[in-house]
Amino acid sequence: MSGTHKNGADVAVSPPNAVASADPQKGLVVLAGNPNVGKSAIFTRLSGTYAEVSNFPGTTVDAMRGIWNDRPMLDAPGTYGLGEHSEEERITTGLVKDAAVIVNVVDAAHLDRDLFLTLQLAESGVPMVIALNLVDEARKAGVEPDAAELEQALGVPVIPTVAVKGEGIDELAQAIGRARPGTWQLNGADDMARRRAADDLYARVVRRERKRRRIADWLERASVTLHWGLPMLALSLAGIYFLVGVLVAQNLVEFTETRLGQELWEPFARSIIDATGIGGPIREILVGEFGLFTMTVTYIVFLLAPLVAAFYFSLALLEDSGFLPRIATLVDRGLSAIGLNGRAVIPIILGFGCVTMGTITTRLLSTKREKTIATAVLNFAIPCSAQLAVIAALLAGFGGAWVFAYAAIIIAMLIAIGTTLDRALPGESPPLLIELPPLRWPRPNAVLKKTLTKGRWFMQEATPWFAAGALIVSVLQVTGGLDLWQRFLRPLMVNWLYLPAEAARTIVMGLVRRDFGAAGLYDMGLTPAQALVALIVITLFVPCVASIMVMAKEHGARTAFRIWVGTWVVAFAVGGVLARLLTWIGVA
Amino acid sequence: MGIDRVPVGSWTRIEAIEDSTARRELTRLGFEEGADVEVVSRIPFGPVVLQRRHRQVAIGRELARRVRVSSQ
Repeated sequence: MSGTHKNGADVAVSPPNAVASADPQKGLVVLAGNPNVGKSAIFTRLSGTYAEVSNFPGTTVDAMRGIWNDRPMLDAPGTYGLGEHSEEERITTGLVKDAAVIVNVVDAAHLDRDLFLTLQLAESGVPMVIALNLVDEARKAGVEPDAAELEQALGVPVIPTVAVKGEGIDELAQAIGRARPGTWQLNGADDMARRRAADDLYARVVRRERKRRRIADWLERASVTLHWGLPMLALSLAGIYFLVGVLVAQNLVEFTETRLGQELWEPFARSIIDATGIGGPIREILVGEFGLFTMTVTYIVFLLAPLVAAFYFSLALLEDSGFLPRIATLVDRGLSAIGLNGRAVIPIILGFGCVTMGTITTRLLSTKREKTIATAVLNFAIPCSAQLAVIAALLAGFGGAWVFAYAAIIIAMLIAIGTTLDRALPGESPPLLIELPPLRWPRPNAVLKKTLTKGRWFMQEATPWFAAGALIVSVLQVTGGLDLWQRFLRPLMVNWLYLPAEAARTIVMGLVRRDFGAAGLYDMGLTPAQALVALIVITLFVPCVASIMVMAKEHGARTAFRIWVGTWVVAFAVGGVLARLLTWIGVA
Repeated sequence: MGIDRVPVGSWTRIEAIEDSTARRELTRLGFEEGADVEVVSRIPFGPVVLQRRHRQVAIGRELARRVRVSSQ
């Protein structure tokens, strides 16, 4: 966030009506609310800017900017209260102070929790309106709040909405002009008094008990027990593997890559270039072995795109169903062994989509210690979707045992790195404390939109780097540099890793992005044991350029450099030991 | 005693939360000192899941020991 919101410390305790003179007809509109109440959906509806909508807390780490009616509009990070206790709280508290109007988005089906923040906002004296969102869910559960009663109690407009369906949005937009400071005042500034007041207010506006929902209620309880939750987790992971690793990586990509890419597109591209009469090294760079119009296009369009889309589709289902925080609960014990708590499963799972994105999401961890451990684990040992896709496609051909061996080694490395850092870093990691959102059916439209948005983002990020990598390798090839590099790395490749000398090429590509390294192994005719060694090396090898940049930004250039150098050492050390081990047990 | 020792499926009243960060967060979430909550799940050596008014929170085992309930 920019520096303008840094000194919002006193908002929560500022005298009522302090900023009441601000004109609600113009100036900054800030959306504030608890995590996971549909703020992003309302923001998207009002401003027309897509903000990510998920069913887990903390999707919006930065404030999203948009324009509504020629006025600036910001979607603040979700918080349960104002104050100085976390990054999100600081940002939101600062934004509230700067706002001309606050739109307080609340979850009508879980209003007791949300009213705590609502009271704090009302105390701030900034003109506000309340969007009583998810009112359809509340109605279904038999706990629809009495909007008129709430309006009267707080003295601000209250508009029922169903943001994902667009209901109540026009009414909400009109109500922004009628925003007023809350008439609420707290006698005594402590949290406990505010909590009691919120509970009393809740009893006034929701007078009925929630209806039982047989299946959903059972699922919400069962999914956080070991005997039901673990099988559910295993089943969903198996489902993802079947979709990404089998259906798409083997069946679909086999068709798109070979038939469409290598047999249709590449000859076509070559014939076009040949018709223009371009020859020599330029032709090689454009349509040669690593050509910009041949290998680059085939890889990006016909191999990577379907795999990445399938992966983000699976992730969207996990996110939108509300299962992710439950996974965090199930794995908390396991992650505590490497100095993290269950919450860290969120950046780690996102890291399987894109390590760069996972690294950014480590922000939702509360201490520097946890952020460092999670970042290291992500950048050493977590393969991103692109890489995973190539790995799945390569190893699946050799049978399940090789896939299992690969997974076991990577998990062992993850544990080794995490445990080492947990021992080495001073201090202790905080305990898990996470709200578990209700389980919901993912909405097909939302899942589709998220898949497309994230997929496109990833492809935009990856394509230039891949093209650059391919260009470097092509230039090295036509200038003879590639042979030189291969001769230079030959001892390492052949004598240490027992790989063919050409595998050195993949290392050049891997320097730019690890998955390109993996892609280069495709047509090398490796034995299963060689493929396993090569993939382990390339997985543990240097993170992609984008990840390094993010790491340098979040943790400083020194940490980023250390991790970069560390990956070289770890990748080749583990690879060499593995190659010997495989020979020794006689499978190589 | 700590809420980690309350049997799954039973209700209890939170008497004290002996961790200031957790007390603040749980108060915001509506699991404050004085609240009646149901213990929904205890993962062996892992988190305890509490439920109130149909909302759930998971708290790590160490923290659960410091969430005190009256023993009866």
